[in-house]
Amino acid sequence: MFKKPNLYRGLACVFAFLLIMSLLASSVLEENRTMVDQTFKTNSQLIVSEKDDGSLYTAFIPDSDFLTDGKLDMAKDEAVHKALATRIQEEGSVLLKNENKALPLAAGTKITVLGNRGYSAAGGGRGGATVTPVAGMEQAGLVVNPVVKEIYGGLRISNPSPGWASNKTLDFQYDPSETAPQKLEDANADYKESFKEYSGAAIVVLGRGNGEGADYRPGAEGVKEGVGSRNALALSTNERDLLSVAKQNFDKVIVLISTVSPMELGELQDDPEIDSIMWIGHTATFGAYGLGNLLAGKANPSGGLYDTYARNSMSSPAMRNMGHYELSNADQIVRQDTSSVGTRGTDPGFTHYVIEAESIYVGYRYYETRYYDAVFGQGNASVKTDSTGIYEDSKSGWNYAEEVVYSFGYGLSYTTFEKTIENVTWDKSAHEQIAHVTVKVTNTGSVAGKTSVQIYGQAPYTDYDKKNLVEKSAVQLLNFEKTDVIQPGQSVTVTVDADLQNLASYDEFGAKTYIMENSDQYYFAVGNGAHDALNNILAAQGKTTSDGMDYNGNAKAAVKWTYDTARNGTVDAFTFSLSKAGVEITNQLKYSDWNDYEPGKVKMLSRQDWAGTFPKTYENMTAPALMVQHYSGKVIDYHTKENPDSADALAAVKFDQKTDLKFADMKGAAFDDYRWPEVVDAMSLEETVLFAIKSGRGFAAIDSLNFPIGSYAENGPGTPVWVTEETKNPAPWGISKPEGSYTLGTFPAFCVVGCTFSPEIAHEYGRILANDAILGGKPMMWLPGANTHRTPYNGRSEQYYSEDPVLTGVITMEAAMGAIAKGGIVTAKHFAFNDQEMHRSGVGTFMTEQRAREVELRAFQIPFEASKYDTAEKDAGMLGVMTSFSKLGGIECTVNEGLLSGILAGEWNYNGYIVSDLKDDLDLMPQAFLAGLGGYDWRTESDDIDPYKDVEFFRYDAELLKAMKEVCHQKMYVFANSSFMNTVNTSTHTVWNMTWWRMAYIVGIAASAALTLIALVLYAIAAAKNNKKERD
Amino acid sequence: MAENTRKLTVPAWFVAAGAAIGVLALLVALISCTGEGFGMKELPMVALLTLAAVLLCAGILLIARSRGDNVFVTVMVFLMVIALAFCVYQMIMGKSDVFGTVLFSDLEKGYAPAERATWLGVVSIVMYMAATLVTAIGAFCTLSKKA
Repeated sequence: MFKKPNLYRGLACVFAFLLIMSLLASSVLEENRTMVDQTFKTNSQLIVSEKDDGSLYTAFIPDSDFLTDGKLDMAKDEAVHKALATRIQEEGSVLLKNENKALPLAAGTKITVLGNRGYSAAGGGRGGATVTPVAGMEQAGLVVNPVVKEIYGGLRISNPSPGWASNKTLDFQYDPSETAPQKLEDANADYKESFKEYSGAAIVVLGRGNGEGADYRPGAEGVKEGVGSRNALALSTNERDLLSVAKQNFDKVIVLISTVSPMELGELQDDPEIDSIMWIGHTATFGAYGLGNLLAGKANPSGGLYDTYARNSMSSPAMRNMGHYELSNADQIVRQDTSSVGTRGTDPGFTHYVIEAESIYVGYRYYETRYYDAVFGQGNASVKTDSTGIYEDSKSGWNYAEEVVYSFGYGLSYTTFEKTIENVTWDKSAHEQIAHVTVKVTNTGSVAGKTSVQIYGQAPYTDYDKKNLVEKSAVQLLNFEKTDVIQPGQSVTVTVDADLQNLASYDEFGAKTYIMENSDQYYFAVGNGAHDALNNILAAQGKTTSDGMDYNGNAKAAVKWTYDTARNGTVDAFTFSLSKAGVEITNQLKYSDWNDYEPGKVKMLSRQDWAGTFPKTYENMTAPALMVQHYSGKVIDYHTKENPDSADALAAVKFDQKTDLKFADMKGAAFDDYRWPEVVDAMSLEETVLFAIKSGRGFAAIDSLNFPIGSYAENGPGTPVWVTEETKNPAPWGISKPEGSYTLGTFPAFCVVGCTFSPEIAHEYGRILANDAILGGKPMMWLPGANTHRTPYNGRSEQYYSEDPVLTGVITMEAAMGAIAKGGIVTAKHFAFNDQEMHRSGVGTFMTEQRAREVELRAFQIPFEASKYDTAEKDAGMLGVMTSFSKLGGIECTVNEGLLSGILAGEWNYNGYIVSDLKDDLDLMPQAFLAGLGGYDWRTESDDIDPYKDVEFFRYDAELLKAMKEVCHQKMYVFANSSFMNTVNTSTHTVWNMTWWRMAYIVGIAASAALTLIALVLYAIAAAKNNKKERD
Repeated sequence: MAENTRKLTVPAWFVAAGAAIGVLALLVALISCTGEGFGMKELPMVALLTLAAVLLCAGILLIARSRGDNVFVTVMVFLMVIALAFCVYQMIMGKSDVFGTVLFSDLEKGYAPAERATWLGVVSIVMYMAATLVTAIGAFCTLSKKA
């Protein structure tokens, strides 16, 4: 049976198999070489500049606080990150309640910390050390009960979240997993004995996790059986029992709330046995040091809340339409290709929708406006709108005090401040669109401290508005500043510039642009949060508690103001109809509203009649034919091989033109530099298409321009990056870690940064991230998140700052500008409407254009227009943006021409890099480029452009080719103005490096091929011999 | 029929088993690609290669039975091993995206359709490897009793 020829035949088969496996290894390794390099600490490709003309590493250099003698000093690096994280936590934690001056605690106070989250740092980072709240307290000089600490140390604590780590199926139910007191007793029956010695205070740390990929599910069905709470954001039985232990055994009970998903804190606020409540968000790396300083009185709280904390987290109108809604005719929706992650995602969403019938009334815009109308007795505001008991906590009639626990912007200090408006100036003769609001701030307490100066505005709700369905919030944040430390008794004046654009309203149905009205009924106010500011406005309008207010406001903290520039009639539809770039603003978002497809189908919430228009839940909606077409991805027509553009049109699009220019010659070039067309026309069709498409971690090379292939983007904080040290042209500042890796710094959750209300901190945040980018060699950062929080249940709130677009926008702008000044390509995400994670991969978010512009898009508009920094010398606009997985209405954001070309590139004059999220909507690629998208988050580095066979696919549409060439222009402009230029000169090119794994597969291929051949030859010889023998 | 099959050696049935396992692997691969968004553009090629392996197997058995284990059988066994090995190649390349997200990130952790696409993909790949191995083992032996 075993003959010689068979042996060779068998060996040939085995070697052939090994040959194919070696080829497989080569494909897999090369396609993922960045990740492979990261894992094996290798450098498979080097960016090499043959000539050193002195321009390398001169574009952007790290700041001196990272360096010693010109070299990276990791101790200094850590100190910089630690100092900012500590400061963010000190100024971003929010003191919500502080009876009997329970806080701060004296140094050396012996305390007992209860609750899982006291012993494990929450959120914020993918790498680097994390410091637990208890460690932060100890660092600040508080003495923590060691007996209880030991018990928690033995519990192997994890903080569950609804994100990646959870089950994403629709039956996901949450359990905060707080340890029951009985378990503490089981671990140590006498643990309460230790309370006697550590009786200075009980600090109970409660919280919720938060994460990308899934939401909390609203209502009782979103909570695991036996948890004992009415929904995921209400206190559980274990949490209440833990509080009982604290209240029964300690005179002083302090509760720390570690969450970014607004929990229901009403019972804590009402409980006289709970002395203090402090919101701390997620402290992540180093933030706990700031927390310790606050508790020990080494720092004074000055943060304000990022979101409204409602008594019932289900009570906002947005909660009536949040979750799982699939079109009843989903089977009619056919996408060309659903294999790309963006359309598959974590749960397919391209047949789902959510109706945002709450209109502009998100967060405090709802609660405060309804309160205002209730005080005035208008719009049926006091009529209960929930008969189920699920959504409202008001006992009889709608009552603000029964609905809201802590308002947006609210926060206490260890001292007290009085804030009054001194004056408002506005030079209308200069056509200025900024009102300068000067506020006098006096420290009326006994401790030094900082405070935020939040300026709110109120526009009158007029008959014109009612006729044209313009909605207006009774109060809205216009801008803010933060004071320096103010000593007791000291007064300072702070001037805050309020952009009137943020007070103007988008009139979608009447003027079809932004309007202001000739009226003397505008108000500016300062206050401790939105509610306080509104009460101050009400006080200025003569209202008191006898009119139904919950407390009397301070009329000196509000100012009545007149707007009177309307040219004709009472409505000024001109002044704000031009963007800061001078582009006409008009309706761009057709099909964002279900009513655009089926007029009158959806009733939007209106102040005209709160009770009558309060949203119902829109379930089982049937998409009309045009919506089916849009959902199926048929939005923009384009030419293909079967239906090509005219030959003349195609011939007019030039490729492969001669030039002496190299990419490096464009260092620092303006977007409209006259040389760009020459540079772009020099690229071949293949270079153009690949460079346009591949916009993620793997960027394609442009050999004709000496633009090197590489991985230039990272997710920002916490991402470890592998730094090339073996390059011929190493950075002069070097990397001191022996293994050559560098972890981008981590900071407390984005919400905590928002709560600082500090433009200065945000700017410093951006500066440090950009330094990280220079040191890590990754100029592109996919952050910050500039979406707004629609509901408390969004799993991804941690990555976004606030429910308010102005707070979000200003903090984003400052962080971006801090980074841009150091050559960082900040890529704000997710443009736009990532309003829920459930079915996020394609969910259609339906809303009015007014809502889209005033709530969602304003948060992006502020950093993108960045007028504060736009100077004659430098166009300081943003350089990057990432689109969302969502649809706006029936149209994917990636192919929404009005959104990308009309508003982003048009009105906001944006010229930078626009990348999709995670290969989203690959099947719509030609339409996306025509709509204005600038490429895809491409995770691999092969030339495979699946699902398109090759670059030839794109050569039949002249407009598509022009769009792709323009994308190349935009991307090169962005790189040319970034720290990327540190590593590029005219002689730069990519060199492949022989790593051990590359050597291994090459040897594998060569050896197995050779052995296969030898075995086949030996088989042939042996078989021939055999045959001869048989013949003989 | 029985007489015909007696002309084949036991290892010849290894080759037949290789083809049978290949067919089963294809069925598992098909099921692993049924979830919305979990299709695989390489699937038609995998099916084609499996079909080729089955036809080659039929050819091998036919020739081995009628004309003995000759050079044609060798060529077909060699091609059959290559076809099955390329199925492994195509399956791994086709599943690399979902493997990456499920096995090397938290991106789709806990999402049943993704996990099903992953684990059935793994099973299919293992089966194709087993099919290749079994066929290769057969290749070491004489497949026909006929001289």
